Amino acid sequence: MFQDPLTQTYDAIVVGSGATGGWAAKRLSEAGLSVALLEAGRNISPKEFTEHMPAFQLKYRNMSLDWLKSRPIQRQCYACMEYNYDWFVDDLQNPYSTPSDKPFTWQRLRIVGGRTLVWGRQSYRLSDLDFKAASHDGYGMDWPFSYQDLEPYYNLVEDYVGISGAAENNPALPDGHFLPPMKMTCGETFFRERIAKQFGRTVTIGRTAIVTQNHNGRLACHYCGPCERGCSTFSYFSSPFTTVKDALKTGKCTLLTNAVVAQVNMDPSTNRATGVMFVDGVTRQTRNVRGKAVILCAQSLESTRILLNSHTPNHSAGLGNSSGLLGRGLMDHSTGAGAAGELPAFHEKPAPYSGPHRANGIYVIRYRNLATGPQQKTFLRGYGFQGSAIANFNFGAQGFGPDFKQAVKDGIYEIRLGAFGESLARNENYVAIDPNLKDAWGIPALHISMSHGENEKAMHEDAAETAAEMLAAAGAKNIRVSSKLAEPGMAIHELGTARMGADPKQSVTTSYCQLHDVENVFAMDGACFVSSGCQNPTLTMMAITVRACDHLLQRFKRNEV
Amino acid sequence: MNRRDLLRTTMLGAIATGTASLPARAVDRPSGYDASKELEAADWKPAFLDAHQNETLIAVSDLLIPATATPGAKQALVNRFLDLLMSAEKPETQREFITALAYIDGACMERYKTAFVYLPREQQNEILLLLAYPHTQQTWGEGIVGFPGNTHFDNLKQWIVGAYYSSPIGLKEIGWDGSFPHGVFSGCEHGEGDHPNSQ
Repeated sequence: MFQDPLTQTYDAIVVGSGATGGWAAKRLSEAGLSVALLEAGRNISPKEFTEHMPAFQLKYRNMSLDWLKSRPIQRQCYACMEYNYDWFVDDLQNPYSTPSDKPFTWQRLRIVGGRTLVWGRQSYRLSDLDFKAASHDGYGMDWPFSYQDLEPYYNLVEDYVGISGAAENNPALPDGHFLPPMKMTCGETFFRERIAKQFGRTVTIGRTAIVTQNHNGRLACHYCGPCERGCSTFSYFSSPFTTVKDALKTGKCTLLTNAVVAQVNMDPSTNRATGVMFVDGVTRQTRNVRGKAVILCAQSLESTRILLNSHTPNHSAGLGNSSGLLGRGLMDHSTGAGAAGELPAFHEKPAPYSGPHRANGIYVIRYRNLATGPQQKTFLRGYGFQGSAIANFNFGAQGFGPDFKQAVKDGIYEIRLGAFGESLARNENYVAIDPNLKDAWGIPALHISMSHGENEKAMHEDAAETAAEMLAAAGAKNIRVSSKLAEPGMAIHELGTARMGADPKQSVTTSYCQLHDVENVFAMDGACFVSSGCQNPTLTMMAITVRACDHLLQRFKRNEV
Repeated sequence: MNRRDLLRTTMLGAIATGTASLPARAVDRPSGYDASKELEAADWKPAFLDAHQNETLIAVSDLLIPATATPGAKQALVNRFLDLLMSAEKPETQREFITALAYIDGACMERYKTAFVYLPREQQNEILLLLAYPHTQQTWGEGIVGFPGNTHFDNLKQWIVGAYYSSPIGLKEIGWDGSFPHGVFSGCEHGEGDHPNSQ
């Protein structure tokens, strides 16, 4: 018999179906809780995948920027293209504002799976150098837990997701439970050896959420290349075909799509949340769903936006904002610095179009301001590099005619490094509700104010210098160096704005992502980050979510929710 | 992402499918849809370029990427795709493209008193040789300035290269075997310190 999914009271409402929402839905429903999983966008089908579609089958062969008129911001993302642009939000329907001198690019998806459909898949653990960074250098706050507390959850998430990588025994980047690593090219192996010998720095193969052997019902990667267009073998991790699928399989989880959550509903008499209000994305009707616990996994800024929009007379500055810190401390890794050149000593030819193509590169582990050893005078914290050394077709060859045609095929052996730097949590980088701006569903939109500071600038000067130095040491020629900071948002690693901590005056949530101010509302995504590290954050976000869910399950068992 | 990066991503990342096409995106492309087929129509006419511009583009692309042991830009119908692409482009991009074509004609008029398409192939080649490489020129009273001819040439070249290497013919040129890309990335098989230049 049909039952209206909105008439029951769920044990938990999970808002967002991406990396963290998928895990929350899976973890809670597999433990027997009834879960409503709300997604602002539509559902996704593997039939939409285009990873094997050659460009000539597309009308504009992915070459025209002009057809992206509805996505002037999204098209700044490398992964937003003619193949898949309708997975990304329509910028005209989803506005936000920034100060005129502080541009911020906010690249996001509203569809089941969210950004896990197109993410970069690089997966690195944080270490106590990150979790206890404030104790190390005096800046900001420590996290309210240590590496040891999170380690079992890193293990659990990695065992399920499947991360390929190589152990390096480098304390700045803890090893994980790895599937076999992808292979390095000759240039990369040589670079690794040279950099270890000359600088004592570690160059490792990228740790990536792509399975290199069959894993949990997903097939090993077949090296076709463009993961961001989907994967018919589900070899890279995306939530719709893993965590969300598992959650739905329990029969305990109800997926509600096109559910654009506007606010958390509160009962003022108990100071507890009763559920959430959402706008039906299709009919534009306002609906409510009831739950004993509300878990926001909507993406850092979206979760904070919902909390800010959930103000009540008792929580006049937004839900969970008694500290005044909700929205504060926005971070996004600094990018843009690096170096590129050619390795003329290597003569391999580019891989033919028909493959294999490795959707992964190399990673240079952080070597600045470590727990021991020299400390930099001009900046705190550190950076890592992602890069590659590989033969590519030389489409930029000079000249024309038969020689040009041959030069393209002969290829060019390129080496490149791009830095990801730690973004310091500074309260002057913030999001707030813009009183004059609403989205297409009538929900007040965000004002985002962020700029990289002097620390990030100085760090990137150093990153550019050391990148060039390492390339030169490897014999690279024609080295181009950049220390220019890209616009905030370009790393697509938005973190913070509802940071966790032990002291309710200094933080928004507990170490289990629960609002200090409301005992049944949780921010279980990147919003709770205290500091950013320089590592790609999704793996850590997922581990934090599972840890928080396990704690919540214990409270359910004790009838505390 | 700038245009050059976009072209690069397209060409490096674009991936081939087998003859039995995989399902296309449900939203706006029916299964098996292949836009390149529409360019092959017998009654094709340019939508954006005029007849002279179209002929000039064919001639330039044929010199830039000629047929050798493999077909070139002309056989790949590069002009037809670029006509379609330009028809959907921003006015500024359209203007730059047309100006670049006109510049070549202007250079030919100056040197040979006739337009590019009417020149014998040797003289067409001569003109492109003048334009194809970056160099500077001394301008009376203004010091060293960049050579606009090279800028125009590079503009056209970038579009032609992008169109060629994304066509079925161009993909074969860079190793498309007709099936979707796959394989085993075997990587480096040298021993530690065993590379040609590792000493």
